[in-house]
Amino acid sequence: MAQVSFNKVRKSFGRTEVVHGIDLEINSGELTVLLGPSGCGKSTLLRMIAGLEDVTDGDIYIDGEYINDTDASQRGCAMVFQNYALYPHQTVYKNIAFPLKMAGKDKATIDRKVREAARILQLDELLDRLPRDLSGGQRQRVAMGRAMIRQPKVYLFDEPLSNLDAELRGKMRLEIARLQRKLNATMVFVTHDQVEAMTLADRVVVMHDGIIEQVGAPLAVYQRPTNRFVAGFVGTPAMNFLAVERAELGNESTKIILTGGELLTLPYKVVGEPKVLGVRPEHVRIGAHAGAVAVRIDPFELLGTEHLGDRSYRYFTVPFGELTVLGADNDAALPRGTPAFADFDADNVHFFDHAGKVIQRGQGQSAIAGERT
Amino acid sequence: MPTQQVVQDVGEGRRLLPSARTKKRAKRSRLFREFLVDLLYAGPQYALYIGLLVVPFVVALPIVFTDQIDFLDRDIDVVGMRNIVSLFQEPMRDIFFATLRRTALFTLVNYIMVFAFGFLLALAMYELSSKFKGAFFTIIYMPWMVSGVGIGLLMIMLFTRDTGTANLAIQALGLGKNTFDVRGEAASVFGLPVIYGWKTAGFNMALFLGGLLSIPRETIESAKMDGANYVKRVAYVYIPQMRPSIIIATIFALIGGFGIFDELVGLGGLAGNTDARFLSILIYELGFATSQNFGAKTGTLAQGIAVSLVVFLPLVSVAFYLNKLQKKMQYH
Amino acid sequence: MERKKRLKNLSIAAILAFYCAISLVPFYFLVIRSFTPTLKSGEFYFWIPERPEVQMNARLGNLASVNNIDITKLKKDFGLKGYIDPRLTLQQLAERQGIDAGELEEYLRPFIQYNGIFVVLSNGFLKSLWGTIVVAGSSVAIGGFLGIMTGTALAGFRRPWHLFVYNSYLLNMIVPPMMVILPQYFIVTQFLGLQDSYFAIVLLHIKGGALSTMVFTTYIAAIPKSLRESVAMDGGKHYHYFWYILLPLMGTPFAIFASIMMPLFWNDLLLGLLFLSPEKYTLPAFVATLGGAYGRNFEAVFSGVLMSLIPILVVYFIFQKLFIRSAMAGAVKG
Ligand SMILES: Nc1ncnc2c1ncn2[C@@H]1O[C@H](COP(=O)(O)OP(=O)(O)OP(=O)(O)O)[C@@H](O)[C@H]1O
Ligand SMILES: [Mg+2]
Repeated sequence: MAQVSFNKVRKSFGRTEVVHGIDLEINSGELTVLLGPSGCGKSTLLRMIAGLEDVTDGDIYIDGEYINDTDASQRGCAMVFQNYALYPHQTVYKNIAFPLKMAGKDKATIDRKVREAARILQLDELLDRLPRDLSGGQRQRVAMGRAMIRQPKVYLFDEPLSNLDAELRGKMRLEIARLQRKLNATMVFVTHDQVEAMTLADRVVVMHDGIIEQVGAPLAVYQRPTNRFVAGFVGTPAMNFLAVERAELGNESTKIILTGGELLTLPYKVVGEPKVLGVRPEHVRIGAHAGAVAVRIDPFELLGTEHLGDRSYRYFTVPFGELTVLGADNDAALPRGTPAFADFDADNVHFFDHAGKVIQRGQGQSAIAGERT
Repeated sequence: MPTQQVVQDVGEGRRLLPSARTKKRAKRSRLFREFLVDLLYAGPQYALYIGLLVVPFVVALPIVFTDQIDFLDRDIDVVGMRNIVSLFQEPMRDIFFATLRRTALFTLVNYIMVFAFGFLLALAMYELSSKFKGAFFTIIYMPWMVSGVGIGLLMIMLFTRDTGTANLAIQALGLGKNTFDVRGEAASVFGLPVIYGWKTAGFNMALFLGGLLSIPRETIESAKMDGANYVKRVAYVYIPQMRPSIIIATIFALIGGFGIFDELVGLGGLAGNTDARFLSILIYELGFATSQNFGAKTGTLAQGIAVSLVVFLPLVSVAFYLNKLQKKMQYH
Repeated sequence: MERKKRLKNLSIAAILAFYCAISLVPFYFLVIRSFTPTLKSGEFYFWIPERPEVQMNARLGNLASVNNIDITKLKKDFGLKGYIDPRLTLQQLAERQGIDAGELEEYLRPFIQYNGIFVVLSNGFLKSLWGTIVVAGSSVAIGGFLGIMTGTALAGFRRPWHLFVYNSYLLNMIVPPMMVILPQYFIVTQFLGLQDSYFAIVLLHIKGGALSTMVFTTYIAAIPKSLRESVAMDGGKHYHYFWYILLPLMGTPFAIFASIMMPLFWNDLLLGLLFLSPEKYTLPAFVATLGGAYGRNFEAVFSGVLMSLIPILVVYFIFQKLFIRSAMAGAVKG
C-alpha cells in the first residue's frame, strides 16, 4: 500500500523526449490503469516508477520519499512483465521463492509463503515444473506469485495479459481484480486494451504522445472525455466525429451547420467555437422518422454491418461524412428513395474546439452528457 | 541554493521535497554506482588485457632506441635509430632478408592452401547431404588437435631422408628413393604449408561453411534457373556473398603465416635448422637466445624488437584495414 | 533428375571419404612409429613390428645414446659402484659385475620393448601432463569466468565506453603473438617477477581476447533484458543476477569458448618454453625438447608426440558434437 507521485517528470532517449512533463498522483490501494496507443510512453512511465529507466527530469515519490535515484531493488516495487521474465532454469517453486531468497529469509518461512501463494494462485500441482513446461496462463500466474510473495508496496504490470488468448485474458483480468481487492494493494497496470482498462481500473490515466490526456474513473472517461483524443480512443467502435461548418450560438439553442449544409438544432447553449461534433454510435439512430434533433440524410449508403452477437453496428456514408450506428433492428428495411433521418441524442453530443478540447455547455443546461433526463 | 528541505503538503500525506543540490548529488551517486558495477565486472579482465598487451609496448618500445643486448643487460645506452637501420645493413641484412623471404613465401603458399583445403572442403560439405556428414567433420577437424611442435615432428616422421615413413613407403612401392627431404628450404616453405593446411583444414572449413550457410538460398536457386553452371555459381554467387568469411580467413592466414613458430620448432628451427628460421624464430633468438643459450647470438634484444616493429606494424595495419572492411560488408 | 542428384551426392561423399582416409594416415603411422624401434627406422612397417629382444651383445654406450638408457639408475638398481666402461656389452657387464645375465635381461626387457614410452615417461611426461592440465584447465575456467564477467558489463553497449572496450578486445585478433612476446616477457618477468611459474602462462591466457569477448557479449546480449530487470524487481543485486541467473545460462557460450580455446591452450608452445624451466615444461615444450635432446631416438620422439596428443584427442572425441557446433557457431560469429 503506497502512494506514487509524479512531479513534472520528463524522459528522453538520447535527444528525443518521449515523456513530456507528467504530473500524476497514484492513490494508495487503487488499481490505476495507464491506457494509451502503442508508443505513447506508458511502459516508460511504469519503468521509471520501477527504477528500470532513469528519470531525465522531474521527481518521483513513493510514499513521499524521493526515489529518482534509488536502486530498483530498493524501491519495494514488484513487476509483472509482458513476457513474464520467469527464470528459465528454475522451477516454479524457485521462481516464486526468489524474492524471499534475495531478502535473506530462512528456508522455513520461504517454504510456508511459497506454498501459500501457490495455493492462492492454484499452482500447487506445478511447483516442480520448469517454466517451459507451463501454459501461458500458468506462467502468468507464476509471475504474479513472484510479484506478490514479497508483499511489495506497489505492483507494476506491463501488459501482462497481452500474450494470452481472449478467454484466458478475461479470466486473468477477474483474477487480478480479485487479488487487488483481497490484498488491498496499490497497482499500476499498463495496457492499450481499453476493455481491460474499463473492467479493471479504479482510475484510468489516458496517455497520448508522452502526455496525460485525462485522468478519471472508467465511466467518467467514457462519458465525459475532456478532449477529442480521449473521446476517439476510448470506446469501440470509435465515436463519430462530424466536421462543423458553422455554428450559430443562441441563448436557448444552438444551430450547427454541418459540411453538407445540413442544419442541426440543439436545445441548449454552447459556449465557444465548436469545430467538431462527436457522438457515440449508441447515441445516434438512423430511421425513416425524424426525432427531436434530426438531420435528413440524402443520399446515404450502408457500407456494412458488424454483428457482435449481443449487438450490431452499421456503417453508413452520409452527405456530411461517415456514421457508425448501434443497432440493426429498426431501420433495416429503409426503402431507397424514401427520406431517412439521422437522429441524435442531444444530451450525449460532444463539441470540440479547433484544439480538440471539449466545449462546455452553457448555464441553464443541467444535463451533463451521459445523464439521461 | 538553500539546502534545507522543504516540506510540502499533499492532501493528508506530507512529502519531503529535496533541494536541487540533494537531487544532483543523488543522481551523481547513482551514475557512479552504476559505473562501479560495470567496472567490477569488466575491470579485472581489462586490467589484465591492458597490462599485458598495451603496457608492455609502452615500456618496451623505448628499448628499440637503445643497445640493450638481452633482458639482463643493465648497461644501456641510447643509440637512436641505429637498430632499425642495422636490419638493412651487413651483417644483419642477409639474415633478416632471408627470414623475411621464407616467411613471406610460406604465408603466400599457406594462403593458397587455406583455399585448397578449407574452401574446397567447405564446398563439398555444403553440397553433401549424408548421414556421414558429422563423421567427416569430426575427422577433418581432428588434426587441429595436434600441437604445432607435433606437426613439425610429424613432418620429420614422414619426410626425413632414409627414415621418413613416406619416403620408405614410396621406396617400398619401387617408385624412388628419398623422394622428400624435410631438411632444406623447400620443405619449410612449400612442404610445411601443405601439412599446416591439413592441420587447419577443419578450422578453415568451418569458417567458410559459416559463410556459405549465410547465403540466401534464393540467390543460388535463381542462378540455377538462369542456367549458370556450378563453377559460375561459385564464382558469381557464392564467393561474392562470402566476402566477410574470406576476409576473416585472409586475416587469420596473414597473422598465422607471419607468426608461425611452433611448427618450426618441431622442425628444429631452434636446434640449428636454419632453413626453418622464419621471422618468429629470429625474433625469439634475438630476444632470448643468450638467456637460454642457443648457440652464438645473431644480434641484440633491441634488434629483436626492431624486427617485430618493422615487420608487424605494417602487417597489423593491413589486418586492421581488412577487419574494418569486413565489418562494413557485414551490414549490407 | 533424382538419380543424377543421388550420383552427385555419392561422388561428393566418396571424395570426402577419400580425403578423410588420407587425413587419418599421419595419425596411423604416428602410432606405428611410436612402436617401431629406432634401430629399425630405416625400414617400412605397415603394422607394428615385433617387439625387439634384449641383445646381450649390445654395447652399453649404444644403448644409452640410441635407447636413452639411464645408466646411473641401472647402477643404483643393481648396487653397482665405480666407473663403468660404456664400451662393455651387456654380457660383459653381467660377467664383470657378477650379475645374473638373465636378471639383467629381464630388467631391461620392458625398457627395450617399449622404449619410446619408457623414455618419455622417465623424462617427466606425467609431470608435464599434469602441468598442462593445470595450465589449460585453469586458463579455460578462469578465462571463461572473466569473459562472462566482461560480457555482463558490455552486453547491450549501454555506455559509449562499453563499445570502446569491446572493440579494443577485437584488436587482439590482429596482433601477432610474436610481435608482443618480447614486451610481454619483459613485463611478466621484470615487473611481476613471475619466473618459472604456471601462473604467468595462465595470466597471459586469461587476459581476454576477441573470441571470448565476442561470444560472451553476444550471448549475454541475447538474454532477455527483462530477466535482469526482474531480479532487480525481486530485490536482488547485480551479483545475484550474475550468480543465480546468468551463470546457469552460460552453458552454450562457455562450451563454444572452451572447445575453441582448449586446443590452443593445450598446444601452446611459446609461453611454456619462455616462462618455465625445463623441469616444469608443459607438453608442447616437453615434446620440443624430446625432439631436440633425444633427436636420435625416433621411437621416443614420436611416442612423445602421440602421448601428448592422446589426452586432448580423448576430450575431442567425447565432446566432438560440441566442438563441431562451436566451430560453426564461432565461424558464423566471426
Ligand atoms: N530504450 C529506448 N531507446 C529509445 N527509444 C525508446 C526506448 N524505449 C522506448 N523508446 C521510445 O519511447 C516511446 C515510448 O515507448 P514505450 O515503450 O513507453 O511505449 P508504450 O506506450 O509502452 O507502447 P506499447 O504499448 O507499444 O508498449 C516510443 O516512441 C519508443 O520508441
Ligand atoms: Mg509498452
